[in-house]
Amino acid sequence: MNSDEKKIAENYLKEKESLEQDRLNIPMLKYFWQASPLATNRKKSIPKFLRNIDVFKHFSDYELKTFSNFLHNRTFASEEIVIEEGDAGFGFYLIFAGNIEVYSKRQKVTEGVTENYHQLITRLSKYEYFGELALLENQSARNATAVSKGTSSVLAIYKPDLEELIDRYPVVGAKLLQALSLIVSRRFNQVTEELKTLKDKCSSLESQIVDKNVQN
Amino acid sequence: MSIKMFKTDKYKMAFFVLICLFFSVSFVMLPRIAIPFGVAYVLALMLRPIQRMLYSVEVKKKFLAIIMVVGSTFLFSYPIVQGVKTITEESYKMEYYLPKLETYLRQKYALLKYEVKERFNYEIEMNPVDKIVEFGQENTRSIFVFLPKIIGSILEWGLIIPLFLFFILRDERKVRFQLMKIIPNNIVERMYYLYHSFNTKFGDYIFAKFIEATIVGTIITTGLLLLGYPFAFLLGLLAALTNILPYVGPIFGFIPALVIGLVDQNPNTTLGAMTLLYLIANIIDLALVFPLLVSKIVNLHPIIVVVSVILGSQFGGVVGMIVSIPLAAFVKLLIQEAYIELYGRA
Repeated sequence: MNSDEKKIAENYLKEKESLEQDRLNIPMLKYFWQASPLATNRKKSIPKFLRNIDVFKHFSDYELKTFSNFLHNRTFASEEIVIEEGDAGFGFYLIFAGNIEVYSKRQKVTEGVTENYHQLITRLSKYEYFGELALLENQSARNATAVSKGTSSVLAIYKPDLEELIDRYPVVGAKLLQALSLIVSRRFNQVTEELKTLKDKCSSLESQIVDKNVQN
Repeated sequence: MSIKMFKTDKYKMAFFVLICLFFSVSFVMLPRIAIPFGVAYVLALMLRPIQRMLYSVEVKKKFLAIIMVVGSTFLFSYPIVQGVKTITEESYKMEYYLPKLETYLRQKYALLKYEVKERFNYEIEMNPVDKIVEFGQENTRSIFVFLPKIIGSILEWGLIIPLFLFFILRDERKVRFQLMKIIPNNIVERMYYLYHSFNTKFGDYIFAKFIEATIVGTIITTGLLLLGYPFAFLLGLLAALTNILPYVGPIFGFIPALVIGLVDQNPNTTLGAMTLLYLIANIIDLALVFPLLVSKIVNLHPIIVVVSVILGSQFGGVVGMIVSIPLAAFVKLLIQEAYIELYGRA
């Protein structure tokens, strides 16, 4: 290589380096843009949130985006009732932020006086859900009361929205119904397990009573 | 364990009530906007089954709205344009029939008066025929006085209704989702349920009635044309319109045909065949069309149906009569909800 050729090659490399320095680093910009908390809008965050819920894992990204367009975002103040026991159910709720406590109405009789009270059944947090039966039954009465603990945000889908989703996007509608069936079957299994435990407890109590009677 | 709960923010409820009042007052105060908007809304509800059908073939929402607006404009305007020609001709013929009808009525009344005098020796002093003729003339005159105004309104509506219809079909869901945000949390489910029930009942009822009236009108017009009866299109249209009224509607639709049959001494006018035709059309309606299309939508007691139609006619004329039944069904639903709220679910 002669000196001229060497000069040309060096100039070319210098120019290339300076060009690369001047060029905008798009991937880096894209990363910062996406990492910015200000850039996170509702449209992007809801499908992302839905992706973390296990019953929606068979939804594609596009299907989750479509489903998210049918959800209502509602905010509840602390101690505010989300759904009340005995009311006609019309919506299914997914906890987007905050905590929800589920209570059931109970009665106890103390010294002949009947007293009504609410018993805590469970505490639900982000990515959990409740009220799914309302989408499957017609005008079903809610069987528990859900109360917001602290400010919470829930995503709701109501029956007309589900009907519209089935009409407009049958595949997404069918997948949502599949997810609902999965939730119901899980709840059913849970209830069956609890029933088994209760029955076992009952039979052990019965045997204890029989033993005591025999001893006496 | 007991929990402290509160229902909702009072300010949110007050704001929501204020918004509802504002829209209700605006609706009453601005009839030039409210009426075409109401008509477009009812049309949009009527078109829902077709909209659902088109969704299944994956038509984009914007194109769907355009297709439906163009389609419904054509569907409603074509028969009007075609029908106006025939009905105008028949209306002109009616001018010759009216004096004939007057003479017929006078003859019959004179005969009745004479027979009463002969048999019971009693002189009838009332003259109802003059009153009927006077009433008819006054009403015809008032129609001509208001005709330019009516035509002006129809032309205005013809431009505004398709525009409203397009935006309702395209943006209804967006607006609904925005409005849902201002509904307080504790009533949101109930309000959405009522809104949905109202839309479903109203849309389905109007759609079913439209189909029912079209079927009855087509049977009567075709039958009268085959019988060679005069004013077949006019009488068919009248039968279709009066069919909207339950119970008494078919009778109202039959009376003009009967009067024409009695007045017209033409041997072609077969009175018996015409009566049979009206009977068959109404039997088809009562036995097939009504149970399949309409009865499932509104489950109301016959007395409530009649009372609501009377009240509807008193407050809103013909439109009031049409909308009275679905409104009564909605009021029933509201009462049921209020009952559940006050006394609990039985």
